Amino acid sequence: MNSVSHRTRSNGRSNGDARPYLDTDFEIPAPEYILFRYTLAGPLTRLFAVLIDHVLILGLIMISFLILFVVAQISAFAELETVSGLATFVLFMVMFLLNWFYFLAFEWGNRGRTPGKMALGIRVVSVDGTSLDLLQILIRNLVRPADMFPMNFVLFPTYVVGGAAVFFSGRSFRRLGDLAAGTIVVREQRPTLEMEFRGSEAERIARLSGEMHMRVYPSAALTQGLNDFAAGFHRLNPARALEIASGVEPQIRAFFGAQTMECTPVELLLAAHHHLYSMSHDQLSNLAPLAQPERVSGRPGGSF
Amino acid sequence: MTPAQFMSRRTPDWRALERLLERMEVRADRTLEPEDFLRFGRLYRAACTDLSLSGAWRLPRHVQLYLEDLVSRSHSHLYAFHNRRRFSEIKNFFLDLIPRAVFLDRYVRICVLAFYLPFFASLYLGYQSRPFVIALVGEAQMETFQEMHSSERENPKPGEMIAGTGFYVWNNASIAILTFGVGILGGVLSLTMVLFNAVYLGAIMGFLLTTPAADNILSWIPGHGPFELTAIAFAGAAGLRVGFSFVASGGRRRLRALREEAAAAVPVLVASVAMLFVAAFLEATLAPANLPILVKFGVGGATILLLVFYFGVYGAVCARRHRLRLAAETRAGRRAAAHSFDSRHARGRDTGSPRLTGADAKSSNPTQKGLSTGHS
Repeated sequence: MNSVSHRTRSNGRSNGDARPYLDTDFEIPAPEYILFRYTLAGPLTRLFAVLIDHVLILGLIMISFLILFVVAQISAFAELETVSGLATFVLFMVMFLLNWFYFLAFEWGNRGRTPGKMALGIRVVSVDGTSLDLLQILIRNLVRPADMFPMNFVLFPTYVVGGAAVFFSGRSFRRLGDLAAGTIVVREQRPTLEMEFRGSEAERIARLSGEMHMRVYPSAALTQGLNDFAAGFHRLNPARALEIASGVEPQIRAFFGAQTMECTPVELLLAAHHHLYSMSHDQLSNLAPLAQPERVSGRPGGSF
Repeated sequence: MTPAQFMSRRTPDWRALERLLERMEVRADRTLEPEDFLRFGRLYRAACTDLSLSGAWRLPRHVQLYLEDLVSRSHSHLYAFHNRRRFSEIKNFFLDLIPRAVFLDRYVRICVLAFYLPFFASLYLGYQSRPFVIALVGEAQMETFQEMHSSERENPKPGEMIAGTGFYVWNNASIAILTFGVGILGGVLSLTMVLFNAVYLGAIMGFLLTTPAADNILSWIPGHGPFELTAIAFAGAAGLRVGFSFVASGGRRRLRALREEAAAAVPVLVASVAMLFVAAFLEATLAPANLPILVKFGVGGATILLLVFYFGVYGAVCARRHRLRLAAETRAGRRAAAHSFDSRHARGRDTGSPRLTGADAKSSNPTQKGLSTGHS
């Protein structure tokens, strides 16, 4: 476990890929000789998750307090002292369990997710990518008081120490408990096989793509570039997406035989992407080969 | 084959893996049949292959992300074998690991000393000099404590006992967990809390022994005192160990040292929390009971003997047994290594030449030696 974390942490983002990533990915080598990535949960996401959890704990304590108070009053009135004593015992045990075992129980029984984490779509995994074992969960939650520090002991954790640790733990966003237990908190994304378009947009792109016809086999750089754009354009500022698309518009129009097509540059690129992936084998093999040998660029999609 | 064809050919397998994962994420051992596990391994390896080829096939980026998600989820299930075996180890935990860990832990020795020496010193000072207690605690607090303990007591009713146990568990365990938790900040805070509790509790008790509440105190404390006070020292020891590992990492990378020492500190902390549960029970039942003082001192003495036996004597036995077991394993390992070394060399030699003995093989093979010392 240690050697794995050492490797992923010390040589940064990726092996062999020259691109400097600005995102918060955490690479994990699998025994099957592949690397896969987890996207780390950022400081704010983690803060909101923990806030939800603590509000929930407080709420549960208050509710149990009310219920047990009523029970204690009634039983005291009825002179059932054992019952009222039992009620107080239950109250303190509930407070104790909620305060110290809430996180532990959920992370153990619910694949590393407390309700707050579930609400924000994040979960805890071990730094080597496997799910947590009990020892790790114990450690990360027994160190929690230090992360909560300074706090009003029972009610209000401030997480100043934990927050500082998250900011200073390099790019892995780990609080002290994570560092001690060897865990990270990652986003649970569920990417789908289908491209994400909004209804009418998809139809329009498909129609535009049907009007295209390309004559030359596309280069790797072109494929990669269109790929990157199609996967990431909705995360860009619209003006920036337009700027990028306009930069390559003439070349794309020429390549895909769409000089006169009426569409915005962004739509043009998406349609070209769609066209590239909807071609049949026969269509592809009828294309003319590339005019000159392909120059392998160190930075795929470099024009972006 | 075009990327589109590749994708349409592989999609059924990816979907199958996805559906399998959805079932596994609910409850793997109940929802899956044996053949599902076999299928899972096959589909996972196929998905790994697809992921590693996805760049070469120029698959769209969102498909690559989808594959990455499939592989990472499967990976975390496939390699989660260490999740299973924990519950069966509980007996071993209490009858071997805890006493051994406590016995061998120098931080426990430091913290037990750092607790009991100041505690008794403060007890003596508090008994002898009122200004010492005033300076430490303040007069208002002193009166509160005096009042709290000077009233006449009746035998507690069962209800009160249960309620009391709940309160004391909550209160004491919180203190212990806090004492451990703050230790990660360099260990200083743990030690501070141990010292503070020692001096503070000692002073108050010393002071109360000079007041009319002395009889009550003598009948209140002895039953649960040894457990509770030792538990605080233990929690401090666990915290100190974790915190100090970051300061003096012993040649390891600091984070690695932190991780290893945190794992090593868990038995001591569990011992501490378990002792607090017992102490809380005693404090709620025995302490307020109207029994002769001799009985209470008897119980107190018995708990001290129990602690000394369990952590001192039995801990030493466990430590020795563990050392012997390790040595035996190392010897067996060396013998096996020497044997294989022997046979490797014997093949290349003529039969007349003297063969290396086990000891020679050991000393002439630095890697083997390094391995075996690494294990011990």
